[in-house]
Amino acid sequence: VYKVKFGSINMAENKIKWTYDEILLSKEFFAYTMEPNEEIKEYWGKILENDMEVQNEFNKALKINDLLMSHKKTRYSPSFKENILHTIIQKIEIEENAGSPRNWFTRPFVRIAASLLLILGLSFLFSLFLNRPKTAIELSVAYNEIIVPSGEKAQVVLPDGTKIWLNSESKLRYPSVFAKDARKVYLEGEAYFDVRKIKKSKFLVNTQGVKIEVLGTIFNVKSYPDEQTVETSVVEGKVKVDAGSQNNNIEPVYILPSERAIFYKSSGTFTSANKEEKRITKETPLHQKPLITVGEVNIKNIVSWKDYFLVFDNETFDEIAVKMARWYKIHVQINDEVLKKQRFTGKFVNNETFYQVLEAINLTTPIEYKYEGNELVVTPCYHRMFPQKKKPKI
Amino acid sequence: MNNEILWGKFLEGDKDALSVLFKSIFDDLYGYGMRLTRNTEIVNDSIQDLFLKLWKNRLNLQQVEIVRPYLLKALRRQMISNLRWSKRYINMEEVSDDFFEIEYSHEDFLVKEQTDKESNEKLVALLNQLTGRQKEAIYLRYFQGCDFETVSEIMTMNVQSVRNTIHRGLLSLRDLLPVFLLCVPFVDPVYK
Repeated sequence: VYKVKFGSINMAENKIKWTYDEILLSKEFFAYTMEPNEEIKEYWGKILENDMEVQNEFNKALKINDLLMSHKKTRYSPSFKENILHTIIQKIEIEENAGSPRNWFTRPFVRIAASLLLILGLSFLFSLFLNRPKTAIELSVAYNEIIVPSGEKAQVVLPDGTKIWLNSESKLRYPSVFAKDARKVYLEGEAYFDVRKIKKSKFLVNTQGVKIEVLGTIFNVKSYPDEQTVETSVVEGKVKVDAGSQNNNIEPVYILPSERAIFYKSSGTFTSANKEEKRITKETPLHQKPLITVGEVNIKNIVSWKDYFLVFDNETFDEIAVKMARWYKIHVQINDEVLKKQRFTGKFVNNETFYQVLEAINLTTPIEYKYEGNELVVTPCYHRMFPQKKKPKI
Repeated sequence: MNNEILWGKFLEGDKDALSVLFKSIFDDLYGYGMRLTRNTEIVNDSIQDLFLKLWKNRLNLQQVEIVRPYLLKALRRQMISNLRWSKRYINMEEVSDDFFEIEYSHEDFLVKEQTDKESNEKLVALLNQLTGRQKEAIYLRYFQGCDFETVSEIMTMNVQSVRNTIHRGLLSLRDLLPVFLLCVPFVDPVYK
Protein backbone atom coordinates (compact mmCIF):
# COMPACT_ATOMS: atom_id res chain seq x y z
CA VAL A 1 0.00 0.00 0.00
CA TYR A 2 2.70 2.44 0.94
CA LYS A 3 5.12 2.98 -1.87
CA VAL A 4 8.49 3.93 -0.57
CA LYS A 5 11.10 5.15 -2.95
CA PHE A 6 14.66 5.08 -1.81
CA GLY A 7 17.70 5.69 -3.86
CA SER A 8 20.27 3.06 -4.69
CA ILE A 9 21.78 1.88 -1.50
CA ASN A 10 25.05 3.58 -1.11
CA MET A 11 27.52 2.14 1.32
CA ALA A 12 29.07 5.55 1.68
CA GLU A 13 26.04 6.43 3.79
CA ASN A 14 27.57 4.26 6.44
CA LYS A 15 29.55 7.31 7.39
CA ILE A 16 26.38 8.64 9.01
CA LYS A 17 26.55 8.30 12.72
CA TRP A 18 23.70 5.87 13.25
CA THR A 19 21.94 6.96 16.39
CA TYR A 20 18.47 5.60 17.16
CA ASP A 21 16.75 8.81 16.06
CA GLU A 22 18.63 8.95 12.76
CA ILE A 23 17.73 5.32 12.20
CA LEU A 24 14.07 6.07 12.94
CA LEU A 25 14.03 8.97 10.52
CA SER A 26 15.69 7.13 7.65
CA LYS A 27 13.71 6.01 4.65
CA GLU A 28 15.45 2.67 4.79
CA PHE A 29 14.20 2.03 8.30
CA PHE A 30 10.71 3.12 7.26
CA ALA A 31 10.84 0.65 4.39
CA TYR A 32 12.23 -2.02 6.71
CA THR A 33 9.32 -1.63 9.12
CA MET A 34 6.58 -1.17 6.54
CA GLU A 35 7.38 -3.84 3.98
CA PRO A 36 10.68 -5.57 4.56
CA ASN A 37 12.21 -7.28 1.53
CA GLU A 38 15.49 -9.10 0.96
CA GLU A 39 17.23 -6.02 -0.39
CA ILE A 40 16.44 -3.91 2.64
CA LYS A 41 17.24 -6.67 5.10
CA GLU A 42 20.63 -7.07 3.45
CA TYR A 43 21.17 -3.32 3.67
CA TRP A 44 20.66 -3.24 7.42
CA GLY A 45 22.47 -6.51 7.88
CA LYS A 46 25.62 -4.99 6.41
CA ILE A 47 25.40 -1.88 8.57
CA LEU A 48 24.79 -3.81 11.76
CA GLU A 49 27.37 -6.48 11.10
CA ASN A 50 30.08 -6.48 13.77
CA ASP A 51 29.00 -3.12 15.18
CA MET A 52 27.54 -3.61 18.63
CA GLU A 53 26.98 0.10 19.10
CA VAL A 54 24.84 0.50 15.99
CA GLN A 55 23.04 -2.72 16.86
CA ASN A 56 22.16 -1.23 20.20
CA GLU A 57 20.86 1.95 18.58
CA PHE A 58 18.95 -0.08 16.02
CA ASN A 59 17.22 -2.03 18.78
CA LYS A 60 16.27 1.20 20.51
CA ALA A 61 14.81 2.46 17.27
CA LEU A 62 12.92 -0.78 16.82
CA LYS A 63 11.52 -0.54 20.32
CA ILE A 64 10.27 3.01 19.88
CA ASN A 65 8.89 2.18 16.48
CA ASP A 66 7.27 -0.89 17.96
CA LEU A 67 5.64 1.08 20.73
CA LEU A 68 4.31 3.72 18.37
CA MET A 69 3.12 1.18 15.85
CA SER A 70 1.30 -0.95 18.39
CA HIS A 71 -1.65 1.41 18.35
CA LYS A 72 -5.25 0.40 18.21
CA LYS A 73 -7.81 1.40 15.69
CA THR A 74 -10.14 4.14 16.77
CA ARG A 75 -13.23 2.32 17.80
CA TYR A 76 -16.84 3.09 17.00
CA SER A 77 -20.11 1.27 17.20
CA PRO A 78 -20.88 -1.01 14.22
CA SER A 79 -23.85 1.03 13.01
CA PHE A 80 -22.00 4.35 13.25
CA LYS A 81 -20.21 4.05 9.91
CA GLU A 82 -23.33 2.81 8.12
CA ASN A 83 -25.36 5.66 9.57
CA ILE A 84 -22.94 8.31 8.34
CA LEU A 85 -22.86 6.76 4.88
CA HIS A 86 -26.63 6.54 4.87
CA THR A 87 -26.95 10.22 5.79
CA ILE A 88 -24.51 11.22 3.05
CA ILE A 89 -26.36 9.25 0.39
CA GLN A 90 -29.68 10.60 1.62
CA LYS A 91 -28.47 14.18 1.53
CA ILE A 92 -27.11 13.71 -1.97
CA GLU A 93 -30.40 12.26 -3.12
CA ILE A 94 -32.45 15.00 -1.53
CA GLU A 95 -30.29 17.56 -3.21
CA GLU A 96 -30.58 15.81 -6.55
CA ASN A 97 -34.31 15.26 -6.32
CA ALA A 98 -35.46 18.39 -4.58
CA GLY A 99 -32.66 20.80 -5.22
CA SER A 100 -32.52 24.37 -4.12
CA PRO A 101 -34.50 27.05 -5.91
CA ARG A 102 -31.33 27.98 -7.68
CA ASN A 103 -31.14 24.82 -9.72
CA TRP A 104 -34.85 24.62 -10.37
CA PHE A 105 -34.44 24.61 -14.09
CA THR A 106 -32.17 21.62 -14.23
CA ARG A 107 -34.80 19.41 -12.67
CA PRO A 108 -36.69 16.86 -14.71
CA PHE A 109 -40.26 17.89 -14.03
CA VAL A 110 -39.48 21.51 -14.71
CA ARG A 111 -38.22 20.39 -18.07
CA ILE A 112 -41.41 18.39 -18.51
CA ALA A 113 -43.41 21.43 -17.49
CA ALA A 114 -41.46 23.52 -19.94
CA SER A 115 -42.11 21.11 -22.79
CA LEU A 116 -45.74 20.93 -21.74
CA LEU A 117 -45.82 24.66 -21.97
CA LEU A 118 -44.38 24.59 -25.45
CA ILE A 119 -46.90 22.01 -26.65
CA LEU A 120 -49.78 23.88 -25.08
CA GLY A 121 -48.55 27.15 -26.48
CA LEU A 122 -48.28 25.66 -29.93
CA SER A 123 -51.70 24.05 -29.73
CA PHE A 124 -53.17 27.36 -28.66
CA LEU A 125 -51.56 29.02 -31.61
CA PHE A 126 -52.83 26.25 -33.81
CA SER A 127 -56.38 26.49 -32.54
CA LEU A 128 -56.09 30.19 -32.99
CA PHE A 129 -55.40 29.73 -36.67
CA LEU A 130 -58.28 27.30 -36.99
CA ASN A 131 -60.67 29.64 -35.26
CA ARG A 132 -59.38 32.71 -36.91
CA PRO A 133 -62.42 33.56 -39.06
CA LYS A 134 -64.78 33.51 -36.08
CA THR A 135 -62.87 35.11 -33.30
CA ALA A 136 -60.07 36.95 -34.95
CA ILE A 137 -60.60 40.13 -33.00
CA GLU A 138 -60.89 38.68 -29.51
CA LEU A 139 -58.13 36.20 -29.92
CA SER A 140 -55.59 38.53 -31.34
CA VAL A 141 -53.25 37.30 -28.61
CA ALA A 142 -52.08 33.71 -28.26
CA TYR A 143 -52.05 32.25 -24.76
CA ASN A 144 -49.78 29.81 -23.08
CA GLU A 145 -51.15 27.61 -20.39
CA ILE A 146 -49.33 25.63 -17.76
CA ILE A 147 -51.09 22.92 -15.83
CA VAL A 148 -49.36 21.42 -12.83
CA PRO A 149 -50.84 18.12 -11.64
CA SER A 150 -51.03 17.06 -8.01
CA GLY A 151 -47.83 15.88 -6.46
CA GLU A 152 -45.75 18.23 -8.60
CA LYS A 153 -44.56 21.79 -8.80
CA ALA A 154 -43.23 23.92 -11.59
CA GLN A 155 -41.62 27.21 -12.33
CA VAL A 156 -41.99 29.52 -15.29
CA VAL A 157 -40.29 32.65 -16.41
CA LEU A 158 -42.63 34.92 -18.30
CA PRO A 159 -41.51 36.88 -21.36
CA ASP A 160 -41.07 40.01 -19.19
CA GLY A 161 -38.69 38.22 -16.81
CA THR A 162 -41.24 37.66 -14.05
CA LYS A 163 -40.65 34.39 -12.23
CA ILE A 164 -43.57 32.29 -11.12
CA TRP A 165 -43.52 29.17 -8.97
CA LEU A 166 -46.60 27.02 -9.33
CA ASN A 167 -47.81 24.70 -6.61
CA SER A 168 -49.53 21.37 -7.21
CA GLU A 169 -52.92 21.38 -8.98
CA SER A 170 -52.47 24.84 -10.39
CA LYS A 171 -53.12 26.41 -13.72
CA LEU A 172 -51.55 29.53 -15.17
CA ARG A 173 -52.52 31.21 -18.39
CA TYR A 174 -50.63 34.12 -19.89
CA PRO A 175 -50.27 35.72 -23.29
CA SER A 176 -47.18 34.89 -25.25
CA VAL A 177 -46.76 38.61 -25.80
CA PHE A 178 -47.75 41.08 -23.10
CA ALA A 179 -49.59 44.28 -23.85
CA LYS A 180 -47.52 47.41 -23.35
CA ASP A 181 -49.34 48.94 -20.40
CA ALA A 182 -50.51 45.84 -18.56
CA ARG A 183 -49.28 42.33 -18.04
CA LYS A 184 -52.28 40.11 -17.38
CA VAL A 185 -52.16 36.54 -16.21
CA TYR A 186 -54.88 34.13 -15.09
CA LEU A 187 -54.42 31.83 -12.17
CA GLU A 188 -56.19 28.89 -10.63
CA GLY A 189 -54.48 27.28 -7.69
CA GLU A 190 -51.44 28.52 -5.80
CA ALA A 191 -48.52 30.52 -7.14
CA TYR A 192 -45.60 32.56 -5.92
CA PHE A 193 -44.89 35.61 -8.04
CA ASP A 194 -41.61 37.43 -8.28
CA VAL A 195 -42.68 40.25 -10.56
CA ARG A 196 -40.13 42.15 -12.54
CA LYS A 197 -40.61 45.88 -12.21
CA ILE A 198 -41.27 47.60 -15.50
CA LYS A 199 -42.09 51.31 -15.61
CA LYS A 200 -45.66 52.12 -16.55
CA SER A 201 -46.58 48.48 -16.86
CA LYS A 202 -48.86 47.00 -14.21
CA PHE A 203 -48.85 43.31 -13.50
CA LEU A 204 -52.33 41.87 -13.05
CA VAL A 205 -53.35 38.50 -11.69
CA ASN A 206 -56.93 37.51 -12.36
CA THR A 207 -58.26 34.75 -10.21
CA GLN A 208 -61.82 33.82 -9.38
CA GLY A 209 -63.25 37.28 -9.25
CA VAL A 210 -60.22 38.84 -7.61
CA LYS A 211 -57.88 41.18 -9.39
CA ILE A 212 -54.43 41.54 -7.92
CA GLU A 213 -52.46 44.49 -9.15
CA VAL A 214 -48.78 45.19 -8.58
CA LEU A 215 -45.85 46.98 -10.13
CA GLY A 216 -42.83 44.99 -9.04
CA THR A 217 -43.16 42.89 -5.92
CA ILE A 218 -43.06 39.41 -4.51
CA PHE A 219 -46.28 37.84 -3.35
CA ASN A 220 -48.14 34.58 -3.00
CA VAL A 221 -51.65 33.85 -4.21
CA LYS A 222 -53.63 30.85 -3.08
CA SER A 223 -56.83 30.45 -5.01
CA TYR A 224 -58.13 26.94 -5.46
CA PRO A 225 -61.59 26.73 -7.01
CA ASP A 226 -62.62 24.08 -4.49
CA GLU A 227 -61.73 26.30 -1.55
CA GLN A 228 -63.78 29.13 -0.18
CA THR A 229 -61.09 31.73 -0.10
CA VAL A 230 -58.62 33.59 -2.27
CA GLU A 231 -55.60 34.44 -0.17
CA THR A 232 -53.00 36.99 -1.20
CA SER A 233 -49.88 37.36 0.93
CA VAL A 234 -47.07 39.84 0.40
CA VAL A 235 -43.38 39.07 0.74
CA GLU A 236 -42.02 42.32 -0.62
CA GLY A 237 -43.54 45.60 -1.82
CA LYS A 238 -47.15 46.64 -1.99
CA VAL A 239 -50.06 44.78 -3.54
CA LYS A 240 -53.55 45.95 -4.44
CA VAL A 241 -56.27 43.35 -4.07
CA ASP A 242 -59.55 44.21 -5.70
CA ALA A 243 -62.39 41.82 -5.08
CA GLY A 244 -65.05 44.32 -6.07
CA SER A 245 -67.72 43.48 -8.54
CA GLN A 246 -71.12 44.73 -9.53
CA ASN A 247 -72.76 42.49 -6.95
CA ASN A 248 -70.77 43.60 -3.94
CA ASN A 249 -69.50 46.86 -2.56
CA ILE A 250 -66.08 45.60 -1.61
CA GLU A 251 -63.44 48.24 -1.97
CA PRO A 252 -59.92 47.40 -3.03
CA VAL A 253 -57.41 46.87 -0.23
CA TYR A 254 -53.68 47.51 -0.22
CA ILE A 255 -51.50 45.07 1.62
CA LEU A 256 -47.87 45.29 2.73
CA PRO A 257 -45.19 42.71 3.55
CA SER A 258 -46.26 39.99 6.00
CA GLU A 259 -49.90 40.85 5.47
CA ARG A 260 -52.53 38.63 3.97
CA ALA A 261 -55.82 39.53 2.39
CA ILE A 262 -58.41 36.81 2.49
CA PHE A 263 -61.36 37.07 0.18
CA TYR A 264 -64.24 34.85 1.14
CA LYS A 265 -66.02 34.04 -2.07
CA SER A 266 -68.47 32.12 -0.12
CA SER A 267 -72.15 31.92 -0.33
CA GLY A 268 -72.08 29.26 2.30
CA THR A 269 -70.89 29.35 5.85
CA PHE A 270 -67.40 29.96 7.02
CA THR A 271 -65.54 31.13 10.04
CA SER A 272 -62.55 33.37 10.24
CA ALA A 273 -59.57 31.34 11.26
CA ASN A 274 -57.67 34.32 12.55
CA LYS A 275 -59.36 36.49 15.13
CA GLU A 276 -56.87 39.28 14.71
CA GLU A 277 -57.89 39.83 11.14
CA LYS A 278 -59.97 42.92 10.99
CA ARG A 279 -62.64 43.48 8.45
CA ILE A 280 -62.07 46.18 5.94
CA THR A 281 -65.48 46.57 4.38
CA LYS A 282 -67.57 49.39 5.76
CA GLU A 283 -70.79 47.52 6.24
CA THR A 284 -70.87 44.53 8.47
CA PRO A 285 -71.55 41.87 5.93
CA LEU A 286 -73.59 38.81 6.54
CA HIS A 287 -71.76 35.53 6.41
CA GLN A 288 -73.46 34.68 3.21
CA LYS A 289 -71.99 37.70 1.53
CA PRO A 290 -68.50 37.88 0.10
CA LEU A 291 -66.04 39.56 2.40
CA ILE A 292 -62.43 40.58 2.46
CA THR A 293 -60.21 40.66 5.54
CA VAL A 294 -56.63 41.71 6.09
CA GLY A 295 -54.34 40.39 8.79
CA GLU A 296 -50.76 39.76 9.69
CA VAL A 297 -49.25 36.38 8.91
CA ASN A 298 -46.04 34.43 9.18
CA ILE A 299 -45.07 34.92 5.56
CA LYS A 300 -42.27 32.35 5.71
CA ASN A 301 -44.72 29.56 6.42
CA ILE A 302 -46.97 30.65 3.60
CA VAL A 303 -44.33 30.66 0.89
CA SER A 304 -42.30 27.74 2.17
CA TRP A 305 -43.96 25.33 -0.26
CA LYS A 306 -41.84 26.68 -3.08
CA ASP A 307 -38.73 25.47 -1.25
CA TYR A 308 -40.34 22.08 -0.75
CA PHE A 309 -41.14 22.62 2.90
CA LEU A 310 -44.48 21.25 3.88
CA VAL A 311 -45.79 23.50 6.64
CA PHE A 312 -48.89 23.24 8.75
CA ASP A 313 -49.51 26.42 10.68
CA ASN A 314 -52.25 25.70 13.21
CA GLU A 315 -54.30 24.00 10.54
CA THR A 316 -57.10 21.51 11.00
CA PHE A 317 -56.60 17.92 9.95
CA ASP A 318 -59.25 18.60 7.32
CA GLU A 319 -57.15 21.35 5.77
CA ILE A 320 -54.04 19.22 6.11
CA ALA A 321 -55.75 16.39 4.23
CA VAL A 322 -56.40 18.74 1.31
CA LYS A 323 -52.79 19.92 1.37
CA MET A 324 -51.50 16.37 1.50
CA ALA A 325 -53.73 15.32 -1.36
CA ARG A 326 -52.16 18.00 -3.55
CA TRP A 327 -48.66 17.52 -2.24
CA TYR A 328 -48.50 13.73 -2.36
CA LYS A 329 -51.15 12.92 -4.93
CA ILE A 330 -53.08 10.76 -2.51
CA HIS A 331 -56.61 10.99 -1.29
CA VAL A 332 -56.99 11.22 2.46
CA GLN A 333 -60.30 10.39 4.04
CA ILE A 334 -60.82 11.23 7.70
CA ASN A 335 -63.54 9.20 9.33
CA ASP A 336 -64.09 11.23 12.44
CA GLU A 337 -65.55 14.69 12.92
CA VAL A 338 -63.50 15.48 16.03
CA LEU A 339 -60.30 14.39 14.32
CA LYS A 340 -61.13 16.59 11.32
CA LYS A 341 -61.16 19.68 13.50
CA GLN A 342 -58.00 18.80 15.40
CA ARG A 343 -55.32 21.43 14.75
CA PHE A 344 -51.65 20.77 14.00
CA THR A 345 -48.55 22.82 13.53
CA GLY A 346 -45.45 21.36 11.95
CA LYS A 347 -42.78 21.76 9.37
CA PHE A 348 -41.34 19.07 7.13
CA VAL A 349 -38.17 20.14 5.44
CA ASN A 350 -36.60 16.95 4.15
CA ASN A 351 -39.06 15.72 1.57
CA GLU A 352 -40.71 13.46 4.10
CA THR A 353 -43.05 10.84 2.76
CA PHE A 354 -46.71 11.07 3.64
CA TYR A 355 -46.22 8.13 5.97
CA GLN A 356 -43.70 10.19 7.90
CA VAL A 357 -46.14 13.08 8.05
CA LEU A 358 -48.89 10.82 9.35
CA GLU A 359 -46.47 9.29 11.84
CA ALA A 360 -45.61 12.78 13.08
CA ILE A 361 -49.30 13.45 13.61
CA ASN A 362 -49.57 10.07 15.26
CA LEU A 363 -47.06 11.17 17.87
CA THR A 364 -49.48 13.64 19.42
CA THR A 365 -52.82 12.32 18.29
CA PRO A 366 -53.11 8.58 18.11
CA ILE A 367 -54.39 7.65 14.67
CA GLU A 368 -54.63 4.60 12.49
CA TYR A 369 -54.50 4.63 8.73
CA LYS A 370 -54.90 2.11 5.97
CA TYR A 371 -55.54 2.01 2.27
CA GLU A 372 -59.04 1.38 1.04
CA GLY A 373 -58.92 1.39 -2.72
CA ASN A 374 -57.28 4.65 -3.75
CA GLU A 375 -58.05 6.31 -0.49
CA LEU A 376 -55.99 6.50 2.62
CA VAL A 377 -58.48 6.20 5.44
CA VAL A 378 -57.54 7.78 8.75
CA THR A 379 -59.36 6.92 11.94
CA PRO A 380 -58.65 7.86 15.53
CA CYS A 381 -57.03 5.18 17.58
CA TYR A 382 -59.21 5.10 20.65
CA HIS A 383 -57.50 2.41 22.63
CA ARG A 384 -54.28 4.43 22.61
CA MET A 385 -56.11 7.67 23.21
CA PHE A 386 -57.87 6.27 26.25
CA PRO A 387 -55.78 3.37 27.47
CA GLN A 388 -57.86 0.98 29.44
CA LYS A 389 -56.89 0.79 33.02
CA LYS A 390 -56.11 -2.64 34.31
CA LYS A 391 -58.82 -3.92 36.52
CA PRO A 392 -57.57 -4.43 40.03
CA LYS A 393 -57.32 -8.04 40.94
CA ILE A 394 -59.73 -9.21 43.54
CA MET B 1 -11.00 -2.64 -6.56
CA ASN B 2 -8.51 -0.14 -5.22
CA ASN B 3 -9.29 3.33 -3.98
CA GLU B 4 -7.89 5.04 -7.06
CA ILE B 5 -10.23 3.15 -9.42
CA LEU B 6 -13.10 3.88 -7.03
CA TRP B 7 -12.14 7.53 -7.02
CA GLY B 8 -12.27 7.59 -10.82
CA LYS B 9 -15.76 6.10 -10.75
CA PHE B 10 -16.76 8.51 -8.00
CA LEU B 11 -15.78 11.40 -10.25
CA GLU B 12 -17.96 9.94 -12.99
CA GLY B 13 -20.93 10.08 -10.63
CA ASP B 14 -21.08 6.45 -9.54
CA LYS B 15 -22.88 6.32 -6.19
CA ASP B 16 -21.92 2.70 -5.55
CA ALA B 17 -18.29 3.70 -5.90
CA LEU B 18 -18.95 6.43 -3.35
CA SER B 19 -20.25 3.84 -0.87
CA VAL B 20 -17.40 1.41 -1.40
CA LEU B 21 -14.78 4.15 -1.22
CA PHE B 22 -16.39 5.55 1.92
CA LYS B 23 -16.33 2.15 3.60
CA SER B 24 -12.75 1.47 2.65
CA ILE B 25 -11.43 4.87 3.76
CA PHE B 26 -13.68 5.53 6.75
CA ASP B 27 -11.43 4.02 9.44
CA ASP B 28 -8.48 6.17 8.40
CA LEU B 29 -10.55 9.35 8.15
CA TYR B 30 -12.36 8.75 11.41
CA GLY B 31 -9.15 7.86 13.22
CA TYR B 32 -7.47 11.03 11.99
CA GLY B 33 -10.52 13.14 12.76
CA MET B 34 -10.79 11.78 16.28
CA ARG B 35 -7.11 12.54 16.75
CA LEU B 36 -7.60 16.17 15.77
CA THR B 37 -10.51 16.74 18.13
CA ARG B 38 -12.32 14.72 20.76
CA ASN B 39 -15.68 16.00 19.56
CA THR B 40 -17.34 13.10 17.72
CA GLU B 41 -20.03 15.42 16.36
CA ILE B 42 -17.51 17.60 14.58
CA VAL B 43 -15.72 14.59 13.12
CA ASN B 44 -19.01 13.10 11.99
CA ASP B 45 -20.15 16.39 10.43
CA SER B 46 -16.79 17.00 8.81
CA ILE B 47 -16.76 13.59 7.15
CA GLN B 48 -20.30 14.17 5.89
CA ASP B 49 -19.53 17.68 4.69
CA LEU B 50 -16.38 16.43 3.00
CA PHE B 51 -18.14 13.72 1.00
CA LEU B 52 -21.04 16.00 0.09
CA LYS B 53 -18.64 18.69 -1.06
CA LEU B 54 -16.56 16.24 -3.07
CA TRP B 55 -19.68 14.84 -4.69
CA LYS B 56 -21.02 18.28 -5.54
CA ASN B 57 -17.73 19.38 -7.03
CA ARG B 58 -16.81 16.08 -8.62
CA LEU B 59 -16.89 17.53 -12.13
CA ASN B 60 -14.14 19.99 -11.18
CA LEU B 61 -11.99 17.42 -9.40
CA GLN B 62 -9.25 15.35 -10.89
CA GLN B 63 -7.92 11.85 -10.65
CA VAL B 64 -5.19 11.62 -8.05
CA GLU B 65 -2.29 9.24 -7.79
CA ILE B 66 -3.09 8.08 -4.28
CA VAL B 67 -6.50 8.83 -2.82
CA ARG B 68 -5.86 8.26 0.87
CA PRO B 69 -3.54 11.19 1.65
CA TYR B 70 -5.66 13.36 -0.61
CA LEU B 71 -8.75 12.62 1.45
CA LEU B 72 -6.87 12.93 4.74
CA LYS B 73 -5.72 16.38 3.69
CA ALA B 74 -9.22 17.33 2.54
CA LEU B 75 -10.67 16.14 5.86
CA ARG B 76 -8.10 18.18 7.76
CA ARG B 77 -9.15 21.29 5.86
CA GLN B 78 -12.83 20.55 6.44
CA MET B 79 -12.18 20.04 10.15
CA ILE B 80 -10.39 23.37 10.37
CA SER B 81 -13.39 25.12 8.92
CA ASN B 82 -15.90 23.20 11.06
CA LEU B 83 -13.86 23.73 14.23
CA ARG B 84 -13.55 27.40 13.45
CA TRP B 85 -17.26 27.60 13.10
CA SER B 86 -17.84 25.80 16.37
CA LYS B 87 -15.29 27.89 18.22
CA ARG B 88 -16.14 31.13 16.46
CA TYR B 89 -12.53 31.76 15.75
CA ILE B 90 -11.95 35.37 14.85
CA ASN B 91 -8.68 34.95 13.06
CA MET B 92 -9.65 33.16 9.90
CA GLU B 93 -6.25 33.04 8.27
CA GLU B 94 -3.94 31.37 10.68
CA VAL B 95 -3.90 27.83 11.97
CA SER B 96 -1.76 28.00 15.05
CA ASP B 97 0.48 25.22 16.21
CA ASP B 98 -2.04 24.18 18.80
CA PHE B 99 -5.16 24.67 16.75
CA PHE B 100 -6.09 21.03 17.14
CA GLU B 101 -6.42 19.67 20.64
CA ILE B 102 -4.58 16.46 20.10
CA GLU B 103 -4.30 14.09 23.00
CA TYR B 104 -3.10 10.54 23.25
CA SER B 105 -4.49 8.10 25.75
CA HIS B 106 -3.31 4.73 26.97
CA GLU B 107 -6.31 3.26 25.22
CA ASP B 108 -4.71 4.14 21.91
CA PHE B 109 -2.08 1.49 22.39
CA LEU B 110 -2.06 -2.23 22.70
CA VAL B 111 -0.79 -3.73 25.89
CA LYS B 112 0.42 -7.26 25.49
CA GLU B 113 2.30 -7.87 28.66
CA GLN B 114 2.68 -6.36 32.06
CA THR B 115 6.07 -4.88 31.13
CA ASP B 116 4.43 -3.13 28.20
CA LYS B 117 1.98 -1.41 30.46
CA GLU B 118 4.62 0.67 32.14
CA SER B 119 6.28 1.75 28.93
CA ASN B 120 2.92 2.48 27.35
CA GLU B 121 1.94 4.79 30.14
CA LYS B 122 5.27 6.52 29.84
CA LEU B 123 4.88 6.76 26.07
CA VAL B 124 1.47 8.37 26.37
CA ALA B 125 2.73 10.86 28.94
CA LEU B 126 5.69 11.78 26.74
CA LEU B 127 3.58 12.06 23.59
CA ASN B 128 1.17 14.40 25.30
CA GLN B 129 4.01 16.73 26.20
CA LEU B 130 4.76 17.32 22.52
CA THR B 131 3.50 20.33 20.61
CA GLY B 132 0.33 20.02 18.55
CA ARG B 133 2.25 19.82 15.32
CA GLN B 134 4.59 17.17 16.65
CA LYS B 135 1.68 15.10 17.90
CA GLU B 136 -0.06 15.36 14.56
CA ALA B 137 3.03 14.56 12.51
CA ILE B 138 3.83 11.56 14.69
CA TYR B 139 0.25 10.39 14.39
CA LEU B 140 0.36 10.59 10.60
CA ARG B 141 3.77 8.96 10.48
CA TYR B 142 3.10 6.05 12.82
CA PHE B 143 -0.67 5.63 13.05
CA GLN B 144 -1.38 6.24 9.38
CA GLY B 145 1.98 4.99 8.10
CA CYS B 146 2.68 8.04 5.96
CA ASP B 147 6.16 8.89 4.74
CA PHE B 148 7.57 12.39 5.23
CA GLU B 149 6.47 13.56 1.80
CA THR B 150 2.90 12.52 2.48
CA VAL B 151 2.88 14.03 5.96
CA SER B 152 4.19 17.28 4.52
CA GLU B 153 1.50 17.20 1.87
CA ILE B 154 -1.31 16.63 4.38
CA MET B 155 -0.09 19.18 6.90
CA THR B 156 0.97 21.70 4.25
CA MET B 157 4.48 21.98 5.61
CA ASN B 158 7.70 21.44 3.74
CA VAL B 159 9.37 18.06 3.98
CA GLN B 160 12.34 19.33 5.95
CA SER B 161 10.16 20.89 8.66
CA VAL B 162 8.17 17.70 8.92
CA ARG B 163 11.41 15.79 9.34
CA ASN B 164 12.59 18.23 11.98
CA THR B 165 9.24 18.18 13.75
CA ILE B 166 9.19 14.41 13.96
CA HIS B 167 12.86 14.30 14.88
CA ARG B 168 12.33 16.59 17.85
CA GLY B 169 9.33 14.55 18.83
CA LEU B 170 11.29 11.31 18.72
CA LEU B 171 14.13 12.82 20.71
CA SER B 172 11.65 13.68 23.44
CA LEU B 173 10.76 10.02 23.58
CA ARG B 174 14.30 9.07 24.56
CA ASP B 175 13.21 8.87 28.18
CA LEU B 176 11.45 5.70 27.22
CA LEU B 177 14.71 4.00 26.49
CA PRO B 178 16.18 3.23 29.92
CA VAL B 179 13.23 0.98 30.58
CA PHE B 180 14.45 -1.55 28.05
CA LEU B 181 18.12 -0.85 27.63
CA LEU B 182 18.88 -4.55 27.79
CA CYS B 183 20.84 -5.40 24.75
CA VAL B 184 18.60 -7.60 22.67
CA PRO B 185 20.38 -9.19 19.74
CA PHE B 186 19.24 -8.02 16.31
CA VAL B 187 16.41 -10.15 15.08
CA ASP B 188 14.10 -10.01 12.14
CA PRO B 189 11.07 -8.21 13.39
CA VAL B 190 7.74 -9.75 12.55
CA TYR B 191 5.64 -7.01 11.03
CA LYS B 192 2.31 -7.50 9.38
